[in-house]
Amino acid sequence: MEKWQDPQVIALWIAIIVVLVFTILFFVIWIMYTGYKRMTEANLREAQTALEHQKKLLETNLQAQEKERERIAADLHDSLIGKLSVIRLKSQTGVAINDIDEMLGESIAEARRISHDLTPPLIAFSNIEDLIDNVVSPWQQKLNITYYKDVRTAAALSPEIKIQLIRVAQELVTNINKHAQATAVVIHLRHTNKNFILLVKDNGRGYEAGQLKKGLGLHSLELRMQYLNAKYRVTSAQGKGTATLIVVPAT
Amino acid sequence: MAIGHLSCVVLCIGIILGMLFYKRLSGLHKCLTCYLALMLAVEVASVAVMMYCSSNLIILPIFSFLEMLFFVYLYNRYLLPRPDKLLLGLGLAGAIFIIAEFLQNFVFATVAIKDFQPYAKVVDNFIIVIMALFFFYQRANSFCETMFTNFRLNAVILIFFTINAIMFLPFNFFINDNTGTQFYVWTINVAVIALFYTYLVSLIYTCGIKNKCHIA
Repeated sequence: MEKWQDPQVIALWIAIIVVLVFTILFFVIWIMYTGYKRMTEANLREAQTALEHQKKLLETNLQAQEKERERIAADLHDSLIGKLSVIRLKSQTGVAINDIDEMLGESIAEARRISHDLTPPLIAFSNIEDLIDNVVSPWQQKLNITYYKDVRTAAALSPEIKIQLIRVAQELVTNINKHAQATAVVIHLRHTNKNFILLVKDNGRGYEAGQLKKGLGLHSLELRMQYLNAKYRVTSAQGKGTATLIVVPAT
Repeated sequence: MAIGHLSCVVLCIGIILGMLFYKRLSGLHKCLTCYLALMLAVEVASVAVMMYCSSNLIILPIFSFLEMLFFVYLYNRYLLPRPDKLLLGLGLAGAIFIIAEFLQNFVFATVAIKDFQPYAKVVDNFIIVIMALFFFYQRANSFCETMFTNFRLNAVILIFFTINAIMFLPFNFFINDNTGTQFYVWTINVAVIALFYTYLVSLIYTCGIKNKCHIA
């Protein structure tokens, strides 16, 4: 009898095949298990990072609110309350009514400025390019701002989007004034049916992208971009200025 | 041309390409070229032995031994990030088994063909399969992995040697069966071997000509 006809040999072959199949199965299950474990751990870590980031943004939001309250309080205290106090004093000392009237007019104008600062007037009826123009105009002389408007649609943005875009523009221009030491600023606005695009570019000192530490301004920008479901990119290089591009879906 | 010669032709093409592009090849591809050369040497040796002896069965354990040593070296030197003691130990155990079986079948006693049932090739294939699976496990577990390199090569090795292990297990049946069934199985085996060698040759060609040595 040849070896292959021996039942013991056949049993051994079957046993070897079973061992081979089980070894492969064992490894496949082991690999899948460890891979799944790693994937779950990675997902958990990612979720934690996202949560921490959101927490940071929330903190920034609260800080920004506090700063805004401080600014309004300072505005009221330094200008309006000061003026009103003088009017009161003058009325007690019997100053001419015309002087008091003039000072009251100034106080009303100051109150209006503070109110406009908080929410631009007629925001629902003004278009975004004019609203941004209003933001840019006071800085035009100091920063040599060139403002290009390219509006290709008649569709208006909602007041919620407009107010956020105004705040972004204010933040960017204020940042340039505070930190960039720029002599020229270019603001390019494009409004189409699909997108609203705003590019703010300066020729200031810039910074290395690797050294960028997100401050209150950038966190606030990110928060607003998240709210608008928009995309943004900040590019900068030492000595070559900074450019901020934001793209907001118009619908 | 007989299908049996197909693998020799593929091996020759691979070796020629390997020699032509030798300087441009990575260490792994040089190693694969050496493997093709080793396989061709085994083919030539089996023909030569057949010319002088009644059978060339003695080649099988020697071939298994060399192939296993080669793959233990390939995995520990090129494919795994660092040599693994467990795999080296497994390779050593396999080598001892193959040597012991060789001594038992060809030195201390001469086994008749009807009783010749070697497990050397099965052990060799089994160890290579475990190394291929271990490679997958280690890569799947490597957290900082950005690119799964050598994935396809390892998958091909795993499939080829699993088929090979099953093919070589009923060796006694294939050399003693008179029904002719074994020729169909051997034809499939030869085709699979030729395909495996063709894949290795394509890797050497891609690395040499297109300079794409980091294979996915």
